[in-house]
Amino acid sequence: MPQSQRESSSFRDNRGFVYYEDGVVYRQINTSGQAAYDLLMTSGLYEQLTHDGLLIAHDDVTGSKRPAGVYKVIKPEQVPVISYPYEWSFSQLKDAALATLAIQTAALSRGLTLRDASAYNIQFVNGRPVLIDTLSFEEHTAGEPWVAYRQFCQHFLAPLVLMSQVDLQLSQLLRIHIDGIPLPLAAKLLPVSARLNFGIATHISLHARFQRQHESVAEKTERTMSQTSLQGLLDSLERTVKQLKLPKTKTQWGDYYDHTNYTDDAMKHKGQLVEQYLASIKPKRVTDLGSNDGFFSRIAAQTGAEVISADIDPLAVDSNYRRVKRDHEANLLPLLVDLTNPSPALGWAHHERRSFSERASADVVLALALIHHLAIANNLPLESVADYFAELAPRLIIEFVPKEDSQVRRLLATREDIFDTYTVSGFEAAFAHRYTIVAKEAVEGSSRTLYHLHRKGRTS
Amino acid sequence: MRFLAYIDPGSGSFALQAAIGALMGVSFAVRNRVRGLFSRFKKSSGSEKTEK
Repeated sequence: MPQSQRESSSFRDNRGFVYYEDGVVYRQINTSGQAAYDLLMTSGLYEQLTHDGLLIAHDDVTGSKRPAGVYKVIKPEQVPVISYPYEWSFSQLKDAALATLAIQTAALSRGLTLRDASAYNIQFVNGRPVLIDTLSFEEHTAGEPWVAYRQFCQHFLAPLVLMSQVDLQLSQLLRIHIDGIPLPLAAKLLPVSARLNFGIATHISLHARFQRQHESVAEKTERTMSQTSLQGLLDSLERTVKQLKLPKTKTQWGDYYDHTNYTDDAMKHKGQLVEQYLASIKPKRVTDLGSNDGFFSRIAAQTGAEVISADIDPLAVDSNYRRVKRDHEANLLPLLVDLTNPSPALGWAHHERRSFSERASADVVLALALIHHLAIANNLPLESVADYFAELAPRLIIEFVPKEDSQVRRLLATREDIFDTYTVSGFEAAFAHRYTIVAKEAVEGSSRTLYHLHRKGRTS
Repeated sequence: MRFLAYIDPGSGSFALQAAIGALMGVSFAVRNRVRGLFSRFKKSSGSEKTEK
């Protein structure tokens, strides 16, 4: 008999919940969600949004036996990789925000409304932002303001404005504030010049002031909003989001491939080796760590594998995502991840948002031009690096960058070399307790070596 | 008015929407009207050219 397991983050909504059965995701709709679900399906909104790629499609798989209180069971299109807003680049968050506003606009035109605007309800499927919460809709009551306005501003607008106007790294505030960045905090962090923008001044600064003024008021306002006013609000939010631009700053790795010490031939040979190793593994999923703008992730994606392309640099990840969007790359997901401090488990009882490691397991980990940053720049013991990679995947394609390499020399230029075991033999010895070497080859025209390793002691 | 939400919409957020809604609604309606006039003008000048 199949075992079902409830999704640990699916507990806030009394209308239904998400669960897994044999690794497949289902959503139970309770009788309390019947009216809203039926309205979504019969109003034409479901058809419109799924056609436009804005809402996840589903099949009705309700069995003949329905326990009391259960209206339907649906099987949504499966999302290959779950990611969170603090792992998205500026353009990813911006596209997710615009998708949410497009959904709300379409919903209003059919007499429905989004009853929440959580960024966690959006996931990237086939390279595009899609709403995955089928139960997010309800009937719109004439005259009622948008109940999710504040949540939209906290989850989307505030982080986007802070990233655009202050610093890209402020998206990480979403890690601390799981229900979005509090507007008084966002308003405080913004430069005075940002208030010259009407949208920012209204939806962030004035909004924060209204929140402070009304925080002790228990009763909601009795004033109502016309349909045109609501459309105007959404239009204003959309124009504000669209106006926000990626700041013109330079980051450490944003133009990495313009400054590598690789010759074209060495790069080509490295690409061939990666391709050759991947061909022998035939992975279904690849996690590329330290992927920069996704050059090698794309080699992995060409094998048909689902690829997580993770990097610490917000501009590199943004550039990677813009290419995914431009070229309609369906199986590559760029994510912003600091490998030395990957996204932890967050939220209620540590179960609401899963850690990056829980979500990034794959058939192969790619760790190219990465080991020196971990071992030398961050003082991580090679054995510990091997342990972590072995947690993620049974296979590892890793590049060893020796001390003779100019990139390592640069890292060591201003500090004492305490890394006696950072040698080819030291690397092989450190990784030998977790892996066996399947293949090993020098990258032509460089001092680097590429390894294909297989994890010991577990079935793969 | 019902105003009972699944999430806490925030009293301040409701009040702000009520306060700015009319202004944004008017601005939206005017821009839509202007856009509509422009597109009608474009269409009619396009059909004039075709007739010539």
